Amino acid sequence: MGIYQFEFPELGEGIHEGKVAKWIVHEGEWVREDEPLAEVENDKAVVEIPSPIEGKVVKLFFSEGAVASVGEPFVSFETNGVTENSNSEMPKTSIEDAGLATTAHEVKQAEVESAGITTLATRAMPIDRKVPNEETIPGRRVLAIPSVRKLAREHGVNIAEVMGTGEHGKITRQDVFAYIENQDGDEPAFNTTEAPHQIKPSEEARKKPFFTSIHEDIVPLSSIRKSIMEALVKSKFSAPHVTMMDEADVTELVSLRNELKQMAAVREVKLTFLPFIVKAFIAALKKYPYLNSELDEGNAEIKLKKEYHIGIATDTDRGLLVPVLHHANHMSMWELAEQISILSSKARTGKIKLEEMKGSTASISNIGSAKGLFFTPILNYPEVAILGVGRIRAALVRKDGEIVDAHMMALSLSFDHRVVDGAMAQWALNEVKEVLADPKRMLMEV
Amino acid sequence: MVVGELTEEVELIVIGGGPGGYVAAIRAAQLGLQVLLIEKEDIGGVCLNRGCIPSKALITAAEDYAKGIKGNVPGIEHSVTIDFFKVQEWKESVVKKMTQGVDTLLKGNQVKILKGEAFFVGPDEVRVMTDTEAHNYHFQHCIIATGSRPVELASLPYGKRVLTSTEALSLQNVPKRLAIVGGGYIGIELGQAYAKFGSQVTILEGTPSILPAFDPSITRLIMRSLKEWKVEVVTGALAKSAVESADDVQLTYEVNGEERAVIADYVLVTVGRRPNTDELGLNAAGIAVDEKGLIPVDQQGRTSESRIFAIGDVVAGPALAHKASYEGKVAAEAIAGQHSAVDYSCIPAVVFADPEVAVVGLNEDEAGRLYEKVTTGRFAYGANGRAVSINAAIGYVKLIADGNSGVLVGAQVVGAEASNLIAELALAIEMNATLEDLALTIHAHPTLPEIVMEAAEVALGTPIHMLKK
Repeated sequence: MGIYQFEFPELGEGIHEGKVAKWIVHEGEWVREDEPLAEVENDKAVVEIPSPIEGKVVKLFFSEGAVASVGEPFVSFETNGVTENSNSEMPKTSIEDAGLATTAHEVKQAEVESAGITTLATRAMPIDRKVPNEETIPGRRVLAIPSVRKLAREHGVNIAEVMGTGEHGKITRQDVFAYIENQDGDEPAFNTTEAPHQIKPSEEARKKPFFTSIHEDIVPLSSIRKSIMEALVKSKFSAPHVTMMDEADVTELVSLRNELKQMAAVREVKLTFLPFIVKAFIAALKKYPYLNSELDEGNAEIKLKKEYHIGIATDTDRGLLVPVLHHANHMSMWELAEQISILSSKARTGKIKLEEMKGSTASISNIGSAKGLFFTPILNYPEVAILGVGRIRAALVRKDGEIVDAHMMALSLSFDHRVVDGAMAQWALNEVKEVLADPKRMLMEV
Repeated sequence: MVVGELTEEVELIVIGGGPGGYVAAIRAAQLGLQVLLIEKEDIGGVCLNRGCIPSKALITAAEDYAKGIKGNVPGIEHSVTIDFFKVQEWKESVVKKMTQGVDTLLKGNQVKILKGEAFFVGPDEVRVMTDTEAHNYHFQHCIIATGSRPVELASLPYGKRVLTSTEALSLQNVPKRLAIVGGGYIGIELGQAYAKFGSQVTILEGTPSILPAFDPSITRLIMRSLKEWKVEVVTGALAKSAVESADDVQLTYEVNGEERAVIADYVLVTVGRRPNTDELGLNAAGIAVDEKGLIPVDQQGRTSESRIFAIGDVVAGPALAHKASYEGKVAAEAIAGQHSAVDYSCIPAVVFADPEVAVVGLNEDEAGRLYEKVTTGRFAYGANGRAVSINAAIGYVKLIADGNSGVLVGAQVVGAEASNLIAELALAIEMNATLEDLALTIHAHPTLPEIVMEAAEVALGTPIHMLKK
């Protein structure tokens, strides 16, 4: 009997981690080669990870919901002797059979085997993706002749990412052209509601030569960064945005919040302005339902949503995430405050679940916490409206013929002009302003 | 013109006219740039004037003389004499021919040459001191190609009888006794040449072996030849001091804790080279050097100051003329807007020792660390018709390949014309050739390159001209 340790494989180019959505096997279970072990979710898809070998599952290294990174121990198996001796080849075929191409490095296999544990770095990736050249061992060459390397450079292609079809993985001119071609057109055909702009290297970027430089550090795009890019490009290029900017007099709200702070401390809730803004926004969405809608171009109709799920754009180390306050219209101010703080902390620590970021009907983006004022938020497509919140500044305003101290909050409302016209958007923004200016009205909106 | 602070505008300034600088200047001019080349001494740099070319001329002369005194083909008797002064004259004529050729090429390409010393006064300006005046040039781009110079040991300062390779190449008489500190390629090349001219040569090497960068099987063959020419080699030796007198110099050194001395006409110190980056005013340009004095550059040779490039011995990598030339072309092309990059698979290195040594790519140990399986094939000169018929049966070709794919990853040649044989192997590596490709390429008979083909067949297990063990 031997122990075989299976490391978490790469799920695709640039995807270095995945969330274990569901274990299909349990510890102690006997699995055959190719049988699914787990469902793993990344921001693109749910993927089944097939078993590389036949054996008894000894240990599952992650609990459901946990995020596994490439190369981390994933599952260990107890195998019979035959498997143990031949498993350097076996995982390779198994994953290929399952529709995934694998490049395996049996690095110093003997050393590892002598330690009693067999490890194998498997890098599984969907077969339709570009499979980077195998040479990841520093010092080993990518097999390509000088003129082909030059060709790649001239097209801004990193030769190491090109899959070589020649003998021993040698990269030919055709391979470089195929790589460029693929980048142009390997995306599935889009339907009419989808933007024709997909993330791919621009003509200019492609012309940029590929080489490392001491003037810049090359940072590969994380999967989250890629998703953000794709989402924003789709939004910006399919929905013509207009942004209305205005100020809300929040003088009373500021003093109300100050009063409530003590109560919040007792309840151990962090009370920010955000719950009030959510309420005010929902009041406006209710009054102007086209702002809480979705345009279905294919069916030539607008879906007016009857639920109010508010996305809250949240800045995290990994990039911008938008956790959703589901049924925000049914929540009390305290519940909103609590929920916002739970979701944002989950987002920041990377523990947020995919379903907690889905289904929003309109969103709020807060730049005030970073001291920003007005801006032009991009719609969280396919939503129709996003409310941008700026900082609250102390100002002198004229009220009833007198100059008085006031607190003014900057608001920027972006909307999809295909669905909503300017006047309606401004009326909606006015509603937000009015509710924020008069906290008593909020009572009536609960 | 008024002498003073007048600043002239130049598209590209190349500082240094060695094999890096002049090649960069010509390539830049070919691509339409207006180029000013600044050289403080002689066009062609160390390589043409004080290095590769003159040393090869002297080595050829020594070889010729050696054949005369030792005989080459039985039955042909020579009676040779040597007029070393004339040998030196001939060597100088070789150098002159080459540097004049470079000069003609530069002028033909409209490269302006200025003799003087350049240093930076800002990130886009250099000041050039000529014999008579100082002049400032404002540049759009600059390539630093100032090369390197011999390292001076504190214990052995250069003097009348303690020489760098430059003086050692220009001696007007064959010294009776020559001591060499440093058993690297320069020490071995010149030591063997002077031994053939009749000098009594002693080579001191600090490490346990001469040519420490090369495999022991290579150095063994060199040691054998050194012994034949009665060159004394002391390894693990630490030179302590040199005391010059009117007629000779006493070199004291320590080996195994014991102090010894050797008296010689001259001591040649050749213990490495250091980059010429300390008198360039790099601070003014905003460029920092690393602890070895080398300038950090990107893959196009661009320094931290994007208008300024650096190539050759002043940047990382082996201090070899052919590397400098390659980098010079890349930098010039990059400045002209092309997508060139320093992107070679291998750089051949040659020692013009007796026998010649040439290596390219990985050696067997290095390959073993990178590849799961390594296949090698070695074929001896002694079984090659041409080698035997030119009376040069010593040496071998060794090929090193990835054992799984058969792709060639390195090669070593020791023996006659190794310097020429290595070209095929460098090309083979760049072209990702396999052992089979080499074996299946028809090599003309009878020639030395057949040894390459045979070595490939050895690796494949089917050599014709060798019996399997």
